[in-house]
Amino acid sequence: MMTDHPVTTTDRPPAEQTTGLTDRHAFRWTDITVYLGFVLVFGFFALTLHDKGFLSAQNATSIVSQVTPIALMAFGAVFVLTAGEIDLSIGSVVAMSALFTALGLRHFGLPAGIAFGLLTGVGAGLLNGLLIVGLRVPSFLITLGTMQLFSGIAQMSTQLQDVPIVNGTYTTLFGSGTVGPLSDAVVWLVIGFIVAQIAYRNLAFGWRVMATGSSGASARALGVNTRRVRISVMMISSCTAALAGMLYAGEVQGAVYTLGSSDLLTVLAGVVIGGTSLFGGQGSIPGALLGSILMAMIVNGLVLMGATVQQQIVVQGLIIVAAVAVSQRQPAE
Amino acid sequence: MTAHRTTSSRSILKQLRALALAGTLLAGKASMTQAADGMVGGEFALKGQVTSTVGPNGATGQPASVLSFTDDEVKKLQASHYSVALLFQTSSDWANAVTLGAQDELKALGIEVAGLSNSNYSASDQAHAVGTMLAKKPSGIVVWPVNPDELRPALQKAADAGVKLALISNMPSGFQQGKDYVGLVGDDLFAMGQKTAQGLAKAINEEGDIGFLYFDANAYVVNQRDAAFRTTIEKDFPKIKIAATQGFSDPARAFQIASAMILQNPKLKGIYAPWAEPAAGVLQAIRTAHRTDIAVGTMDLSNTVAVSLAQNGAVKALTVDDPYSIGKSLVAEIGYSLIGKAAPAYIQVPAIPVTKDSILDAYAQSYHAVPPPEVIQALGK
Repeated sequence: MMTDHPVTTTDRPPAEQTTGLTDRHAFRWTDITVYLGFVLVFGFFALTLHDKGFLSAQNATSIVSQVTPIALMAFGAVFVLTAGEIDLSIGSVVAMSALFTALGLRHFGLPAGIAFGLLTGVGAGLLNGLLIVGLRVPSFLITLGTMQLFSGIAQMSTQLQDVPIVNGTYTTLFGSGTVGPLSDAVVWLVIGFIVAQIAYRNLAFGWRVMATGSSGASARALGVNTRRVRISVMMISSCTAALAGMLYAGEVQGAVYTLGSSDLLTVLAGVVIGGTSLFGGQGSIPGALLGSILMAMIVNGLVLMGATVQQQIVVQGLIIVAAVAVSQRQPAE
Repeated sequence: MTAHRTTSSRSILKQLRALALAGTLLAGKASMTQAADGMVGGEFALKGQVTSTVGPNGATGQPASVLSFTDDEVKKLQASHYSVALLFQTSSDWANAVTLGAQDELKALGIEVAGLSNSNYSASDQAHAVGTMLAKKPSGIVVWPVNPDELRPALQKAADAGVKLALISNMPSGFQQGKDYVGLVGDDLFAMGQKTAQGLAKAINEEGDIGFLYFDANAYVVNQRDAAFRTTIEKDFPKIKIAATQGFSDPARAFQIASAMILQNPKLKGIYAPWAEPAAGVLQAIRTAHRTDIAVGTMDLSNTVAVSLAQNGAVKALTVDDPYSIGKSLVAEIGYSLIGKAAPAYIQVPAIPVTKDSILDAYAQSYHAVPPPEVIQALGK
């Protein structure tokens, strides 16, 4: 599959064709990096670890549980990066939404718990977006600040204590239930993928996001409200992080302020390996999904191999460098 | 729940915290436990031999109960308008419990709080914090050192200025009690690991395969406890085999590691996790694999772990310490010194095995708190 979001010159209104986001149908190795990487890594582990459980259903369940929150955040990150922004605060939103959900469940029951979690995402994203647009400060700097702010709020909300979740309906809905042999997280993954792909690929919103990230001035000249787009992508990102936090809470059956703290780089690595540009203008939802699975699969395979922590870190680093060397390579000067 | 024992790893700013965590979680000179020389971090957890916890210069740990004041001594302290600063590595619920104990003792002795600082695992920030506190001319400082040796110049300056120092768990090597510091207060690390091992062994009828999930980073307290668990199993339970061993530095990986252990060792009857956060990942792995027959042994009081214990879930062995008493003892040590009374060199708080029946007591003793509603509900009370 090619990088799925260069805009064609035929399926958009004429005005949209002048943004320079055209004619990217030529085959590029960079577009298939993630698919190639996925096949290579999967093939390698399938061959070397077939007798160590790599291909078992139980292992697939483990990978799905691990991938789902990361992939959901990766879908959000595709929108953000395509719009030329970045969101460093997602890990803190994960913790905040998980804790607020757990507190909502504790004090007010299931509907409130779910609402608290989702509203956390909406609120955090709205704040990020308004600050970026209103203060005209780069998203990197704003979200660097809100990352700390949200983390602090998460820590203060329970005085650093973890909050157990004993609501069986909640945990069954969010990650602890099963669908066949797999965790029900896979349902969230599939729904998240379909919604993200349609919004990104088939709705005008997806094009506006790309136009904003490709050239804000051109997009504005074409009537795109880039401020609204930038606020929207920050909200999408935070909402996916909030959903990830709710899934973590359901899977772990509790929430603690450290949830999500190591997710940011994993998410970004999955997204850029999947072909989304760090400089805005183009991206790929399927690429982000495959990139996220690839990241989880690498860790999974290395753990099954019995690799030490240090070996895992080195191998992951090498694979990321190799993948981005292909997928993110810049034209020669 | 004890975040002072946690680490995290790869995220941009979190990485900074993680580096500090991995390197400094109660890190420093392994002066308190009999240990094999030259091994630190995960290597010590894997190969180190521990048989008991001893204090600096071989001092025997004394219980917190040895510290007491007569009415006259209290009146003397109350009349003197002393002040004490509290400097922590980080904020955590464990640190909160230490602070609570310290504040209660400060109040009882009529000593003011000169200031409270959390250096967020930064040794240099903590050194600056000592300097800042010195400007307030406190009578004493309680320190939970990030890196005792890096903190030495700042602490030495404080000691030379006549400020009474009481330290948690670790101190700069070569520091002399009575001259440089008043006293040291810490956990019985060996007993923490030993009692967890005994509890897990009992849960699996002292035979069968277990998984050993250890912290593969330089973290003095956790490394000692991991080694104590492993040593106890190897030494005292010959019919138990550690069939799967895997280190981690990011607790978020515990789920994947435990899943792999269960997948590759279907006969596993138990898994050890060093503290509550990785234990939560192990519990998730057990649920995901539908293996309700696997027992978990872990340490530190966490609400999620307590719920599992209360529900007769997978957690079968839990050992906690007593941070509240640590806080009280630190202040009492300083109080002793301020009135010219000889302070014990080393106060050691006990390791407390917790069962379903003793959860409420554990919360009361360790944290001076009542459990959250989920724990009460799980207990059926």
